[in-house]
Amino acid sequence: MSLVKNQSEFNDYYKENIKILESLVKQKKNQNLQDEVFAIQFLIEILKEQITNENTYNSHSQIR
Amino acid sequence: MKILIIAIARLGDNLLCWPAIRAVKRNYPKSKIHVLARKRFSESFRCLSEVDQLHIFDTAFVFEPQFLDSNRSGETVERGQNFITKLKAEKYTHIVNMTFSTASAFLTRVLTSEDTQSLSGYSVHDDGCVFPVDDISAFYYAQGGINGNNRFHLADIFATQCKVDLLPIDWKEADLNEDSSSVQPVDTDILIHLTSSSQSKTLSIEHWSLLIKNLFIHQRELVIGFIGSSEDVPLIEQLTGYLVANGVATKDRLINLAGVRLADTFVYLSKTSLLIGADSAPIHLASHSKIKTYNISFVGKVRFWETGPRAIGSVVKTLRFVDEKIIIEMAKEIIKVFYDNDLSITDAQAINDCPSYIFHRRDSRSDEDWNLIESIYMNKSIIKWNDEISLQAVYKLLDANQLILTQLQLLSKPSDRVKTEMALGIIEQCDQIIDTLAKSSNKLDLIARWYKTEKLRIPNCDFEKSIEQMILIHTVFNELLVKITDSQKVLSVANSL
Repeated sequence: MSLVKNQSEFNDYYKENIKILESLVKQKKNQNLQDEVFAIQFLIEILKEQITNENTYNSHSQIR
Repeated sequence: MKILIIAIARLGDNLLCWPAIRAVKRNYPKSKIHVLARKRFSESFRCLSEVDQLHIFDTAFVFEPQFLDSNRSGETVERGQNFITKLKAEKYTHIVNMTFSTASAFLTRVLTSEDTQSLSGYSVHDDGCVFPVDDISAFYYAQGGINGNNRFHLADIFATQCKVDLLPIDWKEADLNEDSSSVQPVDTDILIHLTSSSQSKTLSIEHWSLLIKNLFIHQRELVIGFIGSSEDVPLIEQLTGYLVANGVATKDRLINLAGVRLADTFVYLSKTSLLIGADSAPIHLASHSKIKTYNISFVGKVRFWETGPRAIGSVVKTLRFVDEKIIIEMAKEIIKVFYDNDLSITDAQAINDCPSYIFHRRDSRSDEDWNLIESIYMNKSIIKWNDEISLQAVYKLLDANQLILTQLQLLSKPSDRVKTEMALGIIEQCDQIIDTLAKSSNKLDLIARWYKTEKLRIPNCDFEKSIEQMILIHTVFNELLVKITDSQKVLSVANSL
């Protein structure tokens, strides 16, 4: 962390960590562990908030 | 009744949870209220006696293993899951998610269990899509936020989530004791909060300087205090040093009160008459202290009617840009607000009602949009539109919706594969038409937002059940569109008489 210098580098750093967690989500999905999937997705979203600097939303654009 | 309030937003939103929490305790004194907050913003709940237990989500602790070594992500997940398991063991009967965020939606879902008797706020469906559980959350999802048309204050939305009405007594300062506060009161006329969560939401240091200079031109005897976090202290010292050096005011009239604990700010607010600022957290502290605010609100950055000041006499100054002339006008306005003279000079004024502002400047189209929201969600009658294009688009929406309904009714009966696919194809095309029409005007957009949000609330279920639920939504949608077109016909006839 001490090597991270600016917001752009922070964002790259968070993105890398998100990717790591997303790979865990895939594993858990394959094992049908839904609660664990959602728990990790909660952590992923916490990291995403660090990138967007936004933690409230009403434009969750998920198409079903 | 064991209630969990999920408040994992920032300080400003957390402070707006206070009135609802107080109202819940007032209505259900035997209830146990637990609050979940992030470590960084948890202080806002420490001085609230209605909170029986505070659970702190420590982001740094959870992510520490993975941040130190990417191979240790499993430990981070374990820490997160341990936290969730501990919370689930509390067996909450009621969960209120007061954070309208994606993260909180996932968290709410994993905390929901067979013990949960009621749930409010955002959760997620089995497929991970957002699920605004209750009506007020669906309303906020559809109509709230920067680009929305909502006019209800977040404090009222939180209270509605809890099914309680707010009373004036639910707005009050923190419960102070020796542990929560350690400062002595300081008499000031005005408190100023210079900073905000982003620089684009507040004035530049040059403009603050000019504003303060003009305040002293109008009123030489003012005593101005500056509040804020410890991070604000250097900026305050720079500004006050400049003002003193340039003879704007003497040092004793510019007092640095920043860098204290949250509860200490209440002590300072108790001895002032007006707060000037753009950031929501100090504004809410002032609202709880019943101290009026002159709220600087940059258009497109914040929606003051959701997060603005609530103390009676508070006013909102909306700005698209700022220059020297505007700053000079603002200083004149502030002095008038300070003396309670003619609050209508500003753009909006806080009142004790719901919605909580009267607007002194706005266009009629904005009123029409709000009336449409009231008619959709609160069954109010619709006023005459000065907007023929929107009305024509509603007729087209009606056609598209009726075509969808016809296809859904065909799908509700046994049919072969070809006919089923054809009907689904038509529905998809009609949905695209609705999307296109939504872009034609603000009114169409907010109607479509209602429709899309209601569709989002349908849980994952089998085909027949989905069709049933869709028919229900499109039937209500049809009724709404007919209500709109009928109202405009009746009003046209009435106007022609």
